[in-house]
Amino acid sequence: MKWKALAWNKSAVGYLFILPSVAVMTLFVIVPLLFSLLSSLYSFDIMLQNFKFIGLDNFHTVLDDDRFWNSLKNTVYFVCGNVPLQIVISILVAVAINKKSRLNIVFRTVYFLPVVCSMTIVAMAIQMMFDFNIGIVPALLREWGLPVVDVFNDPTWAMPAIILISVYKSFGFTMIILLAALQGVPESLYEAAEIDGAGRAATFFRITLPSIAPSIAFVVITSIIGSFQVFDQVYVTTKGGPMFKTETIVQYVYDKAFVTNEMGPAIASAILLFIIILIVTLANLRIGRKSEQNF
Amino acid sequence: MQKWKRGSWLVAMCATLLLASACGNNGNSTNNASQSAGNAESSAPSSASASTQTESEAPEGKVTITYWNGFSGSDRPVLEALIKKFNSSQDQVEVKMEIMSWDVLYQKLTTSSASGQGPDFIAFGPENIAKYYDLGVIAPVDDFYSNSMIDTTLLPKGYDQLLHYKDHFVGFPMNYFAHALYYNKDMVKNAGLDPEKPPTTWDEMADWAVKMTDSKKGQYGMTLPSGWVYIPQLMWANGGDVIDYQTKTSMINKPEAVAAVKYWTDLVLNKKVAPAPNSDNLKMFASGKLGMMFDGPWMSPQFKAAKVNYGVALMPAGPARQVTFGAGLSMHLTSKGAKDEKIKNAVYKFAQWWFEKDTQKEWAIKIGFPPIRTDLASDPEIIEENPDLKIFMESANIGQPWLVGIVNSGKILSEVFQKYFDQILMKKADIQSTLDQASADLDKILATER
Amino acid sequence: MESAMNRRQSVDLGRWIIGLLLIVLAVATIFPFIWMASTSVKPMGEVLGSPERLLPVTYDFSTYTKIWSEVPFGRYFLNSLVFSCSVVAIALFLNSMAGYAFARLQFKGRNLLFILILCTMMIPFQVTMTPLFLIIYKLGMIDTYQGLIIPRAADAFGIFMMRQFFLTLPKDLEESGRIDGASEFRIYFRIMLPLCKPAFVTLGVFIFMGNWNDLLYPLLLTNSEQFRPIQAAIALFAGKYGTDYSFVLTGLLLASVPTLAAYLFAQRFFVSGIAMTGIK
Repeated sequence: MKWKALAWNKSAVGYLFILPSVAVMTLFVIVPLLFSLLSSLYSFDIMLQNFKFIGLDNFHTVLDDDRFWNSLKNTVYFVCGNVPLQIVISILVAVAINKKSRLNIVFRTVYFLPVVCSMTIVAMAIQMMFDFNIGIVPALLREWGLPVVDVFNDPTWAMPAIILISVYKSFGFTMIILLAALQGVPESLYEAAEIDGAGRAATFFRITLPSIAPSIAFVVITSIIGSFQVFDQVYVTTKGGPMFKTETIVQYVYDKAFVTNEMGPAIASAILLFIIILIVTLANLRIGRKSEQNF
Repeated sequence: MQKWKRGSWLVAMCATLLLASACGNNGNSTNNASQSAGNAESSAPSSASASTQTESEAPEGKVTITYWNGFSGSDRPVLEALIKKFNSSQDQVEVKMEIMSWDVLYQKLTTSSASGQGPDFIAFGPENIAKYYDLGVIAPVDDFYSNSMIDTTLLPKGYDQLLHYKDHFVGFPMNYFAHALYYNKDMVKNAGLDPEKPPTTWDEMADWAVKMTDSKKGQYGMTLPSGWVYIPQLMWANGGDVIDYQTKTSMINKPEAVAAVKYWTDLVLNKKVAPAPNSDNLKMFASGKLGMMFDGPWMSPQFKAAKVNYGVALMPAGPARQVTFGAGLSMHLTSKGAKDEKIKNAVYKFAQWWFEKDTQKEWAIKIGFPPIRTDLASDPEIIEENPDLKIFMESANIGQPWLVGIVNSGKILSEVFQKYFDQILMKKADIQSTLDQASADLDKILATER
Repeated sequence: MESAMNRRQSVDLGRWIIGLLLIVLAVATIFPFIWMASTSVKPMGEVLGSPERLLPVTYDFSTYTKIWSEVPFGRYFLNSLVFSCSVVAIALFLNSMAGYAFARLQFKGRNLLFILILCTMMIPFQVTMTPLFLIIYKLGMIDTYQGLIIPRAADAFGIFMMRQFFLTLPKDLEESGRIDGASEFRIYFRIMLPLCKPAFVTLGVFIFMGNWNDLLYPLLLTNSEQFRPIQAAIALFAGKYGTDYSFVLTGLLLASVPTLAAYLFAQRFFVSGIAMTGIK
């Protein structure tokens, strides 16, 4: 009996500690989420009037919409371009500037600069830099007699350009996390490798990578989650154009909700996105766990 | 020592916090005070725009009305000055204006409508009226007109149909504009053409476009964005249209419309007079790389600022007729504003003042929009201050609005026009079959509103 | 001996190549900032006429004075500062409490709750946006600082990060406290909180940046300019200033100064802070 009371007491302290955060998140995240989930089963207008229960019709509407599938395809394209590029660049850079020196600190500081600016600012600035008419990049290419593409206005190049913006903006963030992980790798491991006569490549693949694998897993998962929700850079630069080639799911959701005011389909497609992210993340965690066991 | 340091850090944080909530409350209480005069029921703080902050505390007895619009560009300071003038010209009504970009305006209108929040009146383009009226966001204002608060006979031809929907008056005139042809005089001269004789027909326009194009220099004769009204304008000039507004059926694949698209496609794909579709024509024209473009009076000040030697001409006539896009932004009383008689009357009062000769004259001169009063059309002062206005006022005679009374205009614009015109111009899709497909999609959307 | 020499040489060559690549990357990273700065002081004729020049021929600083009078920039700055700093202060406190509980206290449903909290990271903001607006409206907090701050007072990422941080701390610290008979709150405030400084710096910078740079959220919850933060002003800039590109770039540049300054100031603690938070 006494033990039970003690356990409750202990539990109570725990609950008290998390109460404020949980209250905030319940009220401002969970309740809105539940509201959205529920309302996805209804048809209604932006004045929140004329609620009519329609079951899964909103989901059918979305799944029948070519534009949704197109936006899913674009989102996957973005994730597949952005995540590997960002991770590879940041791993390489982190390893290259891991040694403590004044120069490396300068590099680190510089690479992190875009991270602290807002996506809006970075995206607008880069778009203007590549602008066909006033941008310095096309102007220089023209000067050197090279072919020039109006990248944000070209169906083939618009998405790569958006990926470029995203990598530019966030590789520094990933790099910092990996740098932190690298600092935790004991020096003795490298010394042992050197004694064994391992080359640079061998050290990198046999020592460095495995030691920071958990951190890599962490950044891979978070950047996949983030990439699936890509919006700001698209909204600021192309709004989904040209020819819907850069319309990502969140941009689609935004358009449905605020441009064409089809609230039901907007919420339904957002929920579909949530489910997709959930599945991908769980799959990732599983793969991550398996590979961890193999070490 | 260490402890003290940490403590002070926390104290500093808390101080910021306190300051924050204090500021918040402060702002609130003033707002509520000014609010209670007009709209006791809503807790919506309609607060001062910081740039017109002199009247952040409305004098006793004034009714405060909130006005949202998207005049966020070079027109912003002019509008702000006019609002200030109105507020100080009388002691009954105080207009609080919130300027945002149009995108943001529609987004905020959506979220705030859900709670019955938002502005007392709002400005937007006529293509949005049907949608927001049907949703109940904006309210009818028939008594404004039945009490003859403004003289509607002074409005430009066809303007009153912009304000009409489902047998009700639903808005007040804000401004009028029409498209005209802008051309770069230097490029014209370099191409061996006479800048004082701008093209008056489609053939002449095509001839100019071809002659001014020099792809080696990155110079193009002309461009039209594939979204919005630009390509439909050509259809009108050829005797066609995108929609039959009487029956709400698609006309986009009728021979007249198809021929108009063929005319433009030939110029783009075969004669290569245009840069990639949807290029930023404003930037291109301003940097002297674009010979001709269609657009409204709002471009003039920007081209002047960029020191482009440009000319403005009436829209060249098509095979069937001479026509241009002419419409106006209108102001609309929201349902929220209509709930309170005092607010409603205050909005009416402002709409009336806005239509006054002096207001319109100042607006026309400083911004370069044609006045919404036809009795100002020949005002020498306006023409003298802003010579381009002569053309834009003449354009009013051949102006035609579009998408009036169409509820799903936003969806049609992005999912039909932009989409299929892009396919034709960028993917070189077959014109007739693509427009047939567009027509089917368009009819599917229109069927929901018949 | 000889092979070792070769190796030394190739290592050096490799080092040079890597160094060169790092420099190229650094230049590419910093270039947009330089271009923004130089274009913001170009007269309009040069922006349009000679985009290939990096540096202006004549310098024109007029946009830097014009911006303060044409856009209520000062007010926006203040709003952003109040909003972001307050969120940092409250969120650090709440997140660290929750993080501590999830790392060190035993209670029923702990893991389930923690996973639920992590799941909220996957919800796109657009899903909860409209209901969130309604809730804030019902609380009468549209267009207030409270309305902006309170929903951000706790977040999954912060809780997660603080939990990871507390997991790395040695257990004997609190055990000794417990043996002394101190309450959990006392242990938290007296023993754990003082150790949080590096984590607080890191998380604080993250939270500050996240809120300072957020666009959609403050736009949603504010109607009037009196409470609108700086990023909303940036949204106003987007393509609306016609051909006055140097003006737009001036706005972009000025809006990023505070976060850049905050970062440069705090960066001394930054990497070590991340290392200590245990995200690895």
